[in-house]
Amino acid sequence: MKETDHYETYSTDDFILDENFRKIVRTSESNNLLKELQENFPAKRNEMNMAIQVIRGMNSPKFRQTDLKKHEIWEQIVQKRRKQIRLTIFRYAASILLFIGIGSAAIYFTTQKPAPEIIVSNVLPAKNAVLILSDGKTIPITSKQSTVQYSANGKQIIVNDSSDITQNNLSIGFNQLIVPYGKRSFVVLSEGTKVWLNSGSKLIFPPVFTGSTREVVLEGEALFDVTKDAKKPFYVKTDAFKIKVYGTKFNVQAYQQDEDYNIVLIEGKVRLNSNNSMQSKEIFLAPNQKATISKGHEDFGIKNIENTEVYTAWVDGYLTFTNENLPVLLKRVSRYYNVEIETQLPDNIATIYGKLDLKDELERVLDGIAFISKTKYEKRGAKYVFINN
Amino acid sequence: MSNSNGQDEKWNHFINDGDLDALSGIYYHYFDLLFTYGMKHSIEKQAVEDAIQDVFMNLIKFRKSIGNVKNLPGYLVSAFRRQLFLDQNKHKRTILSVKPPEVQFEYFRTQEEDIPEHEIQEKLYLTIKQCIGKLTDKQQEIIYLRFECGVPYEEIAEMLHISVESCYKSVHRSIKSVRCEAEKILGNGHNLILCFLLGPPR
Repeated sequence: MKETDHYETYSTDDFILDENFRKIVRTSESNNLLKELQENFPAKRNEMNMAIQVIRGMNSPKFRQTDLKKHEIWEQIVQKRRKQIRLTIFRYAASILLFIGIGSAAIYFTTQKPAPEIIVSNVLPAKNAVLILSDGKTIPITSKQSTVQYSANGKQIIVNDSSDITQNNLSIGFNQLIVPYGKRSFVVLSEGTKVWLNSGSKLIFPPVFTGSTREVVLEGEALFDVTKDAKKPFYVKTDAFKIKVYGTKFNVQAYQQDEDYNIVLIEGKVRLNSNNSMQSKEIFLAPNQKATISKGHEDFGIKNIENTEVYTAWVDGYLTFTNENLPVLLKRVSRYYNVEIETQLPDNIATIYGKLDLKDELERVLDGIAFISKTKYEKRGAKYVFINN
Repeated sequence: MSNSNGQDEKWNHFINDGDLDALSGIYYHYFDLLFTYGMKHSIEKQAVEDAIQDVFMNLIKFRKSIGNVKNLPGYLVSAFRRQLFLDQNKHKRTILSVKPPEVQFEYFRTQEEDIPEHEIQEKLYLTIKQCIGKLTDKQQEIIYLRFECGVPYEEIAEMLHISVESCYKSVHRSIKSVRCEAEKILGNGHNLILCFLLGPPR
């Protein structure tokens, strides 16, 4: 009657070949079930033990793919027509190239699919921060500084300690948090990782990390404090590089309109890969090191820095700068306050040191900058223009 | 051998009503199974992903003409394998129009950066690995389909164009040789320690 009734007559091989028995061995609560079976069939103890060893030893290693990639492929399946056509063209091209005999490099090149389309828009909404759920529902966040907190199962989201949102259907899709210029946000992901998002930034992440990795996509600037999990590496992807960590704290600047992207490590260890290089050279960062990659380049430059606070002070509403180029500093200020600042300054303008309190009114901040850099500024319409004094 | 709770129900939703949410559930549930199976054939990752994509696109396209499916993982794995080699052969034939290359398959092939999952005694693991490694690629694939994908013998036979009988025999013979090697390491039962209780499977 029961599936186990034949066990009385089983040999070791029979146990190994029994699908139901294999299932029991491979479930996570197998120990209790197996103990029970051994009590029910004491005469078959040895056979069962041997079978268990063999079944476990035969466990074939899995290949894993990231959730993001799975999601991308699914999107392509659903938007079939366009992709199908493109794919055929690609395959056609592949066979021609192969025929000419260019070789393996050609195979590699032509089997590449069109670039992932996960980054939907580069346009940041001008006024409010928004949280976009996987079903496309958007939640505007009006405060200048906001917090967004996910429950461990990813279903409950608390925005600014008050509004409580519930989302279902978590297995599919990603959430996005978009922070416009002049605003900042702090988000706690479902597994506890904390992310501070600076002005003009966007973070894409799954409501809950179900796969064997944790993966998020960033545009703009963020400080990450990643919860340790040695079994599930955490990846931050930008359009220029990919960072892999297990549990650590680091700041990333990846504004698409900037020439240089920076990663500063505060604690722990991170691994970096640039997206451009085919063999994807990787480098490791130690605490108090900064990696910089310039647009269109494949290699990271690494520099030791004395004070990481310079790169993280924005989280507390300060802007600390040592030996900073004035135009670069003004760009950061303009993002923070969402105003246009133009510079008409000579190239050899002195670099400056200092600390600004970004909770101040914009003009007080600009006064301070003008004072220490020995420049002045004028208001022309809606924008500010810095000129030499 | 993944737990297929509720997948059959989703499948029916998809087949009867064209419910794409149901199909997406099936896609996410079986992705790793198909992906791993493809990668064990030493085929380029991109091609494996393409084949998965094509299988699901075809399911949507030809939904109405899909007949009765007895075993869902078996059906998907079988469709996936066909797609995989269809694509492979298309590529290969264009260079030298010879017969399609031998199908490669390695039961213990792993992803490079994987941390070994096995907590059982290293020696036993290596012995089993070696023993399975000695089997032909086809024999390895047959056990894989039976043990890891849960495909019934009849369907494996159909997929690989062999008789059910020889498929069945192949698995039995392979298991016997693996078990014999394991016994050489662990002793044939009487002095086998209850080590399985020490480490839960990962």
